[in-house]
Amino acid sequence: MAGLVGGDSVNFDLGSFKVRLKVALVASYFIFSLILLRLWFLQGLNGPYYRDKSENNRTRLIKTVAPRGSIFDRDGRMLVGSRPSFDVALMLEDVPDLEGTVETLAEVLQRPVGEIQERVKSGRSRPFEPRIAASDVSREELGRVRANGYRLPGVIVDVVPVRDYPFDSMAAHIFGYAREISKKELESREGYARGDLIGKTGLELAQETSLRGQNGFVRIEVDAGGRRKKELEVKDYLKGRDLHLSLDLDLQLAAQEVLKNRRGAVVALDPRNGDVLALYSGPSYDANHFSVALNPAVWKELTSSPDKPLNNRPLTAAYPPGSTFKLFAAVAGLAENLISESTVFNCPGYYRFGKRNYRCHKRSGHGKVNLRQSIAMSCNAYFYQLGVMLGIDRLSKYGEMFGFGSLTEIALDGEKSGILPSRKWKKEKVGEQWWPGDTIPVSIGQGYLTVTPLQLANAVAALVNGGIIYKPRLVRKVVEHESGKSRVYHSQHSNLVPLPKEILHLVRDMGSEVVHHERGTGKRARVGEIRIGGKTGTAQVSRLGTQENDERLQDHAWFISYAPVEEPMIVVAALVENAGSGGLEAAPVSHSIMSKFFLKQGMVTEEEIEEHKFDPPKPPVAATEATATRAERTMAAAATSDQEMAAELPSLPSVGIRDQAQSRAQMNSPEEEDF
Amino acid sequence: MFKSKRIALSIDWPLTLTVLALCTVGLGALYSAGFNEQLGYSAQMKRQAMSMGVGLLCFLICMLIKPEIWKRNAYLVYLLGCGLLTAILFSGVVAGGARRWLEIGGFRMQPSEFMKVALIVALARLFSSSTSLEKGYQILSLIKPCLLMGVPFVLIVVEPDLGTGLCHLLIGGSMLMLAGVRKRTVLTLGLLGMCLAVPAWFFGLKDYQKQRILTFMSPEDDPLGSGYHAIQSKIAVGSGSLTGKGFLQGTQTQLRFLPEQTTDFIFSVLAEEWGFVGSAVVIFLYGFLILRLLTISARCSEIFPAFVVIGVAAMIFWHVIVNVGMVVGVLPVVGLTLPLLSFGGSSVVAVLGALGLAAGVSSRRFLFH
Repeated sequence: MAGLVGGDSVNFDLGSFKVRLKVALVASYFIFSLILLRLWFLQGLNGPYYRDKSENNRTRLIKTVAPRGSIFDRDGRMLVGSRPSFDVALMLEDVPDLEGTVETLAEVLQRPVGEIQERVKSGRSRPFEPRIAASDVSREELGRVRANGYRLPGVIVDVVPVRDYPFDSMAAHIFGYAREISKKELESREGYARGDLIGKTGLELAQETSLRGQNGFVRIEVDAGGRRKKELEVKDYLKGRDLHLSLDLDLQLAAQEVLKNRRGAVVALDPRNGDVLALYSGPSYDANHFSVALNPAVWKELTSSPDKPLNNRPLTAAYPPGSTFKLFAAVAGLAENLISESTVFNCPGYYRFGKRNYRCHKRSGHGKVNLRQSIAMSCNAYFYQLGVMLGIDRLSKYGEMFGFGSLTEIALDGEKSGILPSRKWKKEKVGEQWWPGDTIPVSIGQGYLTVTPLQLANAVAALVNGGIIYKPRLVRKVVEHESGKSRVYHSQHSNLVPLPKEILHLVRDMGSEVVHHERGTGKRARVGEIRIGGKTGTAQVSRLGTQENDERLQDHAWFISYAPVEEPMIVVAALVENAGSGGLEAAPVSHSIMSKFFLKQGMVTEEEIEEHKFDPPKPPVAATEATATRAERTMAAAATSDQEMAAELPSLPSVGIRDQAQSRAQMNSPEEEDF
Repeated sequence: MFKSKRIALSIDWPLTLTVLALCTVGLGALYSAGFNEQLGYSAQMKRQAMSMGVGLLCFLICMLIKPEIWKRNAYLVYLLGCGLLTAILFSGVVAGGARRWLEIGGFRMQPSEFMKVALIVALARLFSSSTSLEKGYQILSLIKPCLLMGVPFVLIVVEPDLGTGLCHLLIGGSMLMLAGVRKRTVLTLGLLGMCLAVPAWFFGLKDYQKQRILTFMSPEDDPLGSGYHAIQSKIAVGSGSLTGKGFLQGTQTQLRFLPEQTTDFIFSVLAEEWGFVGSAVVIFLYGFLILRLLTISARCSEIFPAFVVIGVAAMIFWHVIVNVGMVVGVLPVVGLTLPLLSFGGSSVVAVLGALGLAAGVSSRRFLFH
């Protein structure tokens, strides 16, 4: 066997051919084994990794966002609900040409390309998570997106529930708002995922655990084109629990209507159980701004406005209570047996203490007045004398009994405690000892003393209900949506005022003089023939005689009221910032709320209200409402009745300034009714 | 008749059974790749089954035709192949940007698939009468075989179909190496080839061809564009894991993540649904086929049949390596079929015909003439 036989008897070396064949066989087997090795690498070693990838390829997990619980008023009327928001989003994995798609989308939505680009880029970067390009698009825009679907590959429409406030600005401060959870919160809170909403302020924050629902999801299978093939797994969402509040929509609306755009606060409580019937902060803002991504311009306007519309004034702002505090000073005097109902002090128009004259608002003086008269006419001289007799320690002790200087513990964020001054407090905060002269302004609710409207309302409630300090109750019931199971929040009292009821009832009765006495300062609060107790207050902001024309340095108008006097069902505290006289500006607020309340109770009719309304002749219109200075209002007040005017000396931290103020007061003294 | 009967009796069963096994696997994979919940099997599957019927007939015919007849008409077959390729230039059917097909009597055929067999036969014929086989090929003596390879290469590359063109060079080159080329010549040509590669990259390759090569190097750069095939194919193969997702259960396959899963990427379907076990079995089948063919060649007593079988083995080998290499992501995306598995009538008929040739050689190994 010399070799293979070729046609032309070619001599072929069989041996080396066979060697070459063997080499070829070995070489091809070597290459085959490389292929096998590669297969082992892909399928054996990295099988699970690629299995995951193929799962991601074919499935999309779509979150179904659970709506947050709704909020109802005490009569079951919906105050906060949910509505669907249509968000246009991009599934980047299914978008072949991002820039082109964004451009097309901008054209379809008729929005600037930059805006959409910005939103898409700022979105999260997790794979297979849609990136929102435009949220809460209108139905018309949605229709255009749907119609142009063929040239918008990878563009999807997400439906998410957002907050809906049918009464837009009616109680924005109470509800607060929920936002997307921040990275920091995500680290500290269990059970939250990126993109979840979390309550940031108001009830949304306080009742987060109740309001929050449980998100569901749909796992769908898609083909290579991202087209939905079938649902693989569905988990339904669970709506958040509903809140039933103690709030009365009618009273809240009445508060909004009467306060209008003025800065101020209205609190209405049920003194029998601490229910919050109304809690309005003005000016308010449209809560619907916060439903979806907040417009930066709106946010800037809200935060930079000098009116500070985001402040929840009833509980986060503290003001001097002014003369409303006289009721509590009276309680202290009676309880300490320093005065009785018939104790008479003389009011010559001022009270001289040391080298200074502390003025009453009535220059000519009230003459000899007893306690009842002094409350009705809000005589300062009477309470200066009572204050000096009581001293700061006792004033402070009684203030503490009624909850001044401490939180009411309403379940809302940002509550302030105000200041209840004492020797210890002054030493710590001002670094000075307590001067006897410091006590005198405190006795008429000025000086260092500050309270929040809610705090004052709660203290009045305790005064008129026989001494029970309730924790203001805003949420009465939490109801689970599916099962209907509910959890009731019972009213809780945090303290009892350790005083004989007779004293409290006596002062409560004296308050009715303010409204019903012919020289009472709160006649504008009358509602039909309902017996109403109340107290006006005019809290000074500025030093006497300064900045007369600066509206923001005008006095705050206060009015607190309760009715019916014998068995109060409602307490109202109204504050209007820089409005001037309490009897003129704040008492009508109380009138509105009380009218609504007693009309609903069927205890009064519209006609009766109209008939008994205190309607003095209108003052001459020398200037428009907006430009009216305090002096003009004062003249108007003097023309109609003996309105309480703020003539109390202001809180002044040091002797020097006080002296200066005093001399200023004396300098100003010839001009009658300048204050 | 007597002889034919003996040939039939002495049929190479290991080879034939392996071929039938691969055909079955191919039909199974194609069934799954084209699976449709309403119809079950796809139209492609039906056409492939028909092609296999025709192909097996070809296998039988080629087996029964005496190698001497093949040898005598080798150049004729070669010229016929070149003629068909030339005909494409004038009346070829354009599809997907390339003119690769001829339509004859309603049937569409791809001459380049048959050209491989023609080239194998022609080269074997050349070797059988070449004195170079005694001393080994040198640069000058390589001119003739290179011309044989060059003509179809050029005709195919202008279609354009670089993959199939290169395949001809690989087959021819393999046959030459086994015929024997002097070491010095191999070295010289190797250096020359490297020097030519650079200008070829800049002037010879079309943009999409360059893109394929670049993409192969880093597919993740363009996951939705040119890297899509490479990534999705790897995912399909890898996600099959050890035992696969099960017949008709491949999500990559059933949700059509691979556009060419019935043709170039049929192996990924198999790998996804049958896992490492399934793909290894297929690789082993091909490995056995190569072993069998080389064994047949080694037992030959004549140069022509020995090199025909070597050519067939080279054709199968390179197709498998290039195709599977592409599917598992170690070679660039080149449109070469996986023999007997990929959908495509011309490929199936040509491969089965070529294997029939080899089977015919094997059946006659004990016969004298």
